[in-house]
Amino acid sequence: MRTTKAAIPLLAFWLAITGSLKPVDVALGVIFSLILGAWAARYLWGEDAPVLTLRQAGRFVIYFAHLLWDIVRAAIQVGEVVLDPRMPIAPIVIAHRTSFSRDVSRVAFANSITLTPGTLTVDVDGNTFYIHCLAERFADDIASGDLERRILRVFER
Amino acid sequence: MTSLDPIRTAVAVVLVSVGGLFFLIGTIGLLRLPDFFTRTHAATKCDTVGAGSLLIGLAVYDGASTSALKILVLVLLVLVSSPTSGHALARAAYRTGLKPWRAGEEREVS
Repeated sequence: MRTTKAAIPLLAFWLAITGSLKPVDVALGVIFSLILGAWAARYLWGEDAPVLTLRQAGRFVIYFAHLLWDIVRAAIQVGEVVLDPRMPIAPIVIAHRTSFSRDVSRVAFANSITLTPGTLTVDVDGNTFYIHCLAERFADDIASGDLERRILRVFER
Repeated sequence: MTSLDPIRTAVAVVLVSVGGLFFLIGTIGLLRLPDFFTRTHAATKCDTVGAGSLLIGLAVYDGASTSALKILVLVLLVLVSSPTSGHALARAAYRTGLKPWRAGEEREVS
């Protein structure tokens, strides 16, 4: 079951990359997806498979759209800082504790932080995230817990 | 050669140019920012948006085709791999004891 769940996205990837529906190509894709899927499910996933229910997947789409907007804002904000002759930064590292219970939420949280304005995840220790902020005001965005709540809603409810 | 829809070409040109602009900003950031961690900020964020915008521009230019689909798969790959590699670098630096630069200190020479 886990193997199938891992093989399906791999097969979708294969079909997108080969762009061919010839029986030989599809058959090869199925074989390779199953082999790689078995390997991934066994060695990459660990205890908790990063699989979403249908409802979570729907929320993920909304979350993703919000994230894309944050990423664009983040790049523009880096641009403002970098092109400002005074370069107004005062970096700090903060520790932020969370209440995630799945690895997939921790990964999503860490990567989302890195892609949102002014923050970069430097280390993760269990549920404690060490975050490098370009200035203190960016730390407030993380401390408010807004991003954390959004991740919890997508992956853990 | 098929004649390209001028609006589509214009959108593609704008997206590719914006992508290039973000790469430029990221590079300026890499040169101007004071230490490793702040530079990683510039590299991860600007390169993600730069590569994303550039690739989406190319997909638009290509229109509805399997190449466009492949390009969009690449965009997703960049969206996941860029913060992950940025984090891996920052974590390695942090764990080996590199101290983040603080306001008022001399700029790190490298």
